[in-house]
Amino acid sequence: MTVRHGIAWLSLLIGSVVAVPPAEATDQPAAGLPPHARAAPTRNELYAAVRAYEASLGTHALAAAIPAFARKYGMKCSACHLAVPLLTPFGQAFRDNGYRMKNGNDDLRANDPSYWPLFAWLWKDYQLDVDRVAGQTVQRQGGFANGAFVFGGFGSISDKVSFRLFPVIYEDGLTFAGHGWIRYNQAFGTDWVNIKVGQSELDVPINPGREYNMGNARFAVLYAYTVPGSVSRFNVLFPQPGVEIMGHDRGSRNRYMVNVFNADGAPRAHCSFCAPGVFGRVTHRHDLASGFLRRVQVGAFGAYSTWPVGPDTSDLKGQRRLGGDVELWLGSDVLPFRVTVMGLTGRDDRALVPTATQDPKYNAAMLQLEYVPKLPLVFYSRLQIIRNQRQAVAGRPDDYGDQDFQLVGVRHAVELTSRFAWLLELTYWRQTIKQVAPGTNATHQQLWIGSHLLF
Amino acid sequence: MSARRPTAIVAAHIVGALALGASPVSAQSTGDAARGRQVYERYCIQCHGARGDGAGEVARWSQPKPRDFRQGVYKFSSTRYGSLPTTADLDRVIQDGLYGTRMPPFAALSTRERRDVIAFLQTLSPRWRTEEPAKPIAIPAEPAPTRESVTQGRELFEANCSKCHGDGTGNGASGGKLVDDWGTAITPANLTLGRGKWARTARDIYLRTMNGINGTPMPESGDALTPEQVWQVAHYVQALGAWAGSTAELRKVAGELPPPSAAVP
Repeated sequence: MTVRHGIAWLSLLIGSVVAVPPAEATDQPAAGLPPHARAAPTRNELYAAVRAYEASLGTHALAAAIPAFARKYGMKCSACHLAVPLLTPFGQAFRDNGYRMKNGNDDLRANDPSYWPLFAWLWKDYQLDVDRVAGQTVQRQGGFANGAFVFGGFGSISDKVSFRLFPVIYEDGLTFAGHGWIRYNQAFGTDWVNIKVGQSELDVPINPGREYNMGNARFAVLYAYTVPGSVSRFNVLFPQPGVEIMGHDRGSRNRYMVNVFNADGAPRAHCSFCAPGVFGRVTHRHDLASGFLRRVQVGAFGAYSTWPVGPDTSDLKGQRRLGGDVELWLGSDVLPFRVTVMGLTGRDDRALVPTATQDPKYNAAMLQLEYVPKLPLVFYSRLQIIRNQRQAVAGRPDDYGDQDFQLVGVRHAVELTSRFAWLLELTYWRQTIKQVAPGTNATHQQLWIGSHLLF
Repeated sequence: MSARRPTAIVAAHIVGALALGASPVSAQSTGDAARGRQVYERYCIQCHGARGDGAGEVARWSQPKPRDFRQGVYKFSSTRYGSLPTTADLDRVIQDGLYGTRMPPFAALSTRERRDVIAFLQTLSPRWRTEEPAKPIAIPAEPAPTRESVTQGRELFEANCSKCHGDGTGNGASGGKLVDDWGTAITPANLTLGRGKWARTARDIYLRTMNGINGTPMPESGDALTPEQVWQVAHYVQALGAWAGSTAELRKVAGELPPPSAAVP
């Protein structure tokens, strides 16, 4: 690593250290906390509230490093992944093509009979978690967390049909049915129309399905955010069941995606498509022929979803999310310093918050930095900020439910072949939720050391 | 957290980005072999090997074998048989891949990445230092394919091609005995599939017929056939399958003609 690289990463570390609040820092309520938590909370109540909030943030994020592809096509993971799981443009094109190289070897009938589009992925990690409320440590626990075994299948079974499905089995016996879909490729003979049916991840920037750390899904907290007190559980973080149409040009420099879905987890008392929504995204990537700036990608996305309120599930109320992102590749096409900036604004119908007096609005932003100094090594850092612009309940503190999130980490591939990958990872992240009680902030910090084995 | 903290964090990140951006950047307009090595190590090394010798990790499972760049012999070229290809030839293979082989299309790579990796490939063989890349052969304008050109092409095909390619499916009498310059058994292309490893259009068929395929028994025909005759062969081959530009009418014409007689019975 050169001096300038050292300066860069030292700066990131300084940023993270600066972010740690002083011991006397105070805090306030998080999204979804019961109103009574705001009055004279005990430490245990605060802790319970924080854990409840954290639990509401969802399950583990699942990256899509698929050694089966490496086996099928004889390529290393690093061809498609800038650093697993972040995609290279080549990997993005492969994905957009329905996991096809389009070189005549995609059809299962063209493959060796011994090949199956299956993969296995195991991880085990040590976690140290520290919860602080109002500057006091209320919980500190460490130990080896439940690992998981993923056995799934992705790929193309013919030139026209691609699929994806994987279940996750955790050590505690919990089986989590991962999302699955079937896709019809190149409808009408063009790359611009591909139709996917099933539960598929939404094409958001910094795709939550491609997180680094497998410990949990809070790395994309701004996608998972719901305004305090909202009954809606919709967020763009999770795969949504529905129909997706997407298209792209050669090399996936220009892409679009439209997904019509039923909000995952919505009550289905009277119908099977009770909470319809739509998500769309367009991106454009431009490769520069010379200069330090190598690649620019700009994108815009939006979602309108509905969620039933009250006993009659036909009483749907809306949520809007609009965002844009810019991605810059600096210094190198192959081993870049990558900067991603994303902004998001959200507005919910007041009826989604039982005590609301006005439509809540919030803004969120994310800055992600990644640096790949050499092929099997990536340093990464992420900042996320959520700011409520208008509270659902008039009179609440302006920063009620605001959040700050910082993350730094490093991942190294000990082995990275066309047959298997062994990855080691060290991550530290910190999340602050403001006003969990009047004048009180809550902070969760985690040190995560993990080992992934994929084959 | 105080209001200053997000500002401090963002400032620290910006300093980091600027520190990385402070280094001078090469203003070379042509490919940079050093950068090309990085591209190679990400995308190519698993097949073509760390030394470019075609003995990468998955070469043992690959058929046909990955190219050994040290020899400077490239199968598909717009130049005369035996000569070095042009940069555009290499770029085409990188962009389009070789259909039916492990070589995928790398159309998603930037122009600079492709240019750089070509520069790196050119460091792997001394041929690039001792020989001047040849110029692409001149390709006369394609005459419109007609019943007559397909019929004429069939006769030329039978006389010059069917010994290996048989009736077009690759079932020629010599087909099972062919080896390439690296000693690997190879089979003649099945031209009825409507697509070759490299060729997709009548122009591509023209080039392959005229220039042959380096390192294989597929010879150049430049001295044996006139350009007009090569176009006729190209039109006949095009009519054997659903090649780009092929029409149902031309395929019907080819189907009505007797198959070339050199096919294995």
